[in-house]
Amino acid sequence: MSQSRYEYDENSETWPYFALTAILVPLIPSTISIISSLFKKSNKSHKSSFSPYNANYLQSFRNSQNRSKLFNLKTVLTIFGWILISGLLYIISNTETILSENHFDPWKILEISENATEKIIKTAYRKLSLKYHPDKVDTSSMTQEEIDSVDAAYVLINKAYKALTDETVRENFLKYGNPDGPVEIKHGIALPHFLIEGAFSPFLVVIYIAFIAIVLPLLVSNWWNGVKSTTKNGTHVTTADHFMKLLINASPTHVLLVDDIIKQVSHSVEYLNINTALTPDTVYNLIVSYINRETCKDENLRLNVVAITPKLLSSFLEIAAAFKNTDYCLKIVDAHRSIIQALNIEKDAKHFTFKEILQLPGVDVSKIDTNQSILTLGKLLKNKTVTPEKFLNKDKVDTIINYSKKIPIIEPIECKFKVPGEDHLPPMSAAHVSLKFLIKSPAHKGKPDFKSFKKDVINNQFKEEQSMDNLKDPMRVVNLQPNVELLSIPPYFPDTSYIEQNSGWIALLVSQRDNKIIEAPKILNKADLSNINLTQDEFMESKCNISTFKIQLSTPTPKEVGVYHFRLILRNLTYFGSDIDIPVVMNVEDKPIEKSKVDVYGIEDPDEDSIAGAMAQLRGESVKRVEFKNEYESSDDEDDEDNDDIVSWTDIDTDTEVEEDAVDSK
Amino acid sequence: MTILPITYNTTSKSISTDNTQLETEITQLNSLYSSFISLNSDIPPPPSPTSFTKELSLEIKKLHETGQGLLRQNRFNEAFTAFTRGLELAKSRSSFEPFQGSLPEFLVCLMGRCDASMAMKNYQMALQDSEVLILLGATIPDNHLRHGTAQLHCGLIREAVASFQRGISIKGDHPLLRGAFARATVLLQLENGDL
Repeated sequence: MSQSRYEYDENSETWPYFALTAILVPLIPSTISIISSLFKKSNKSHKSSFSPYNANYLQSFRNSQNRSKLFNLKTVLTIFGWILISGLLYIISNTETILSENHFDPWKILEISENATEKIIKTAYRKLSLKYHPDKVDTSSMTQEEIDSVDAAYVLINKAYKALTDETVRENFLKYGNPDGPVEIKHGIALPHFLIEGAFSPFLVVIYIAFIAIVLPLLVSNWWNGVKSTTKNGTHVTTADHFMKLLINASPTHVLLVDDIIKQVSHSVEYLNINTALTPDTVYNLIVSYINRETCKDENLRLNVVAITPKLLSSFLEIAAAFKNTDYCLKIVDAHRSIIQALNIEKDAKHFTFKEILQLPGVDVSKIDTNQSILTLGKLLKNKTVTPEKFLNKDKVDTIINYSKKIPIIEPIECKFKVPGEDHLPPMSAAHVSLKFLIKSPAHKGKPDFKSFKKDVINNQFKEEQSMDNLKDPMRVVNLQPNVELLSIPPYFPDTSYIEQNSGWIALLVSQRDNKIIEAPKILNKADLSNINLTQDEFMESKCNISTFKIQLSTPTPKEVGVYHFRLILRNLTYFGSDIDIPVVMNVEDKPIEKSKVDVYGIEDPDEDSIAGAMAQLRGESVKRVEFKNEYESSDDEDDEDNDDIVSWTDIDTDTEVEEDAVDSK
Repeated sequence: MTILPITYNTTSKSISTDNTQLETEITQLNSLYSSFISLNSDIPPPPSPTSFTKELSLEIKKLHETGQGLLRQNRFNEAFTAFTRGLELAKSRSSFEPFQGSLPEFLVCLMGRCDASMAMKNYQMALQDSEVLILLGATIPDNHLRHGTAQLHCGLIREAVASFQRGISIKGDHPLLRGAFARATVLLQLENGDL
């Protein structure tokens, strides 16, 4: 070991750079994510004047959530990382770089600047060679050592001069940094000598073994266990398995209720992470008491249970959609909104019929006037039979009205199947459903006339630009739109960040024939919400923006030409009363590609009997017919004529017979 | 046998349980067994037209006709009972008879009963029947008309519009469906305060 030819990093020149890179690679992304999350939070602060019965608990839940978001291991590690970086930078700035002895700098040797002309180089060389030439220097009073150094200096001056003037030497210098040509490459270790060969070397070996034999296998096995125990969307496999079993055994005759869904989701093992003592029954009771808006002994536990339920419902929905079960999916969405709004729509008939009104914060079930048929947000805001004050039996309704005005409603303009670059749907083509819609407020009446839209809205938002980017990726238009950001946040649900991240509509594409889901559900979460703030006049004059939503079909259009009927169901994940259900028709046509009339290159069709002709026929292109004469030709022709005659004759005959029959019957 | 929550009766070959989900499956299994025992053969007959009891068909047809006649005379209550009896007869067939034959009989009786409930303004009953009709005969446009009408009267306007649209997708020129759809759309707009 002691005879090692390696150079060690005794002056700490190299290892700080390695360490700097190794730390910065993970540190920069984590810092960016922390900073961006800080900014996101500071942008929004929802203050609602309405405070639910459990407002104190909700506030403490949200605060602890925010705190845990700020002061977690990630933040601590990131701060520690930056401290390390500053330490390393200090070390680097205090280390002088010592160049090795054989570092060759011809300009420095000749004592000239790097951009000196040839003339200056020559003069400098002459001057120095006169000074150091072994014949010119008086060596009588020098030691052998001094004489050698003078000799070496003279050799160096010669080398430097050649490096700057001689072609080959110059090339060597430029290529290898040395006028003598390539030198032996030296390997170094970016660690100080004492760590490898000193008393610390066993320590390093232990670290090395620990990393290879313990840490690495541990990390891999941990990762693999994580992969095994959770599904792609983060649900525990046991929970996913439970949902699958439910759907396999789903009976089509059983009328599904939100209550069933809550009962089924309460068996998820995720609840055990909150408290290992939780049984499915307790979870079910907690959720039901929450949607009934009843007080609870252990409010914190209940909020924790409720907070993770919508996420479980989303994965339940995904599994239900994989089973193509529309009824299950729709009921799961209902359960999802029931939990977000803390509203038990199945409690009684009143809760079910007035669900759109009851979801508004501050509306009291016992106080509303059930004799009025104000069942929807639209009716409450537009064509009310009584004043909202009287209907809701409340003094101040401004906040409720403002809240309901900001609930986004979808107004469809056009919904059809499209194939990029085609004006019809060819068989076996990659089509997508394209929905053009307006987001409006429930207070907006009707929808603006199509003609009244602004020209650039029609040209850019309604008709998509036929650019290469849009044709290649039809989803691009959708992804360029802003995210749906809710202006009215439901007050009861504890985890507001979940609502913000999962606001929008779930879109199910369903076959009209058998009511089965034909495409994995997609979330409509990108749309232009600016229309909500328009006044009714502005809305009708159409200062609106049109938004787009698309679902790319994973399977190509059918082989057979025909009309196929589907339904696009959009269900809002947060609010009741913002759903749409529209039919979409897939009209598969096989229009032949029109041949260009003018042949640009003037190439004739290949002959029928040539190889090119045979290939063209295989491709379905036209070929030049070859006159083919043989001895049977004449007889064939006669036969054809005969057949023609018979056919036409029989046609006439049957016609007359029918007519005669008709006459007879009269 | 204490592993499963079931008990087995050796003479009637039936099993029973306390578990509700299991119970439905067991009832189905038991009914299959009882009809198999009554067949008195080693294996169930193949599902062919010959193994289909035609006497029962005649009776069902008769009951259906009676029901239709009563409907026309506006005697809805009696029509309802006639159709229900027809349905019970259709259900009472041995489970091993081909359902290809029994399904249409069951469907026509159920359609009649649904119409009778609707005429009696018992829309909840009609809604239940129409849901089954949609499950069994989704390609019959009239079933969607029944389903939608029942939904409309139960206050499910949005769902009714979707039902009518589904019917129209099967038969575009159905005048009743078109009319019902137009009316439901207006109702929906009224409900939303747009009109």
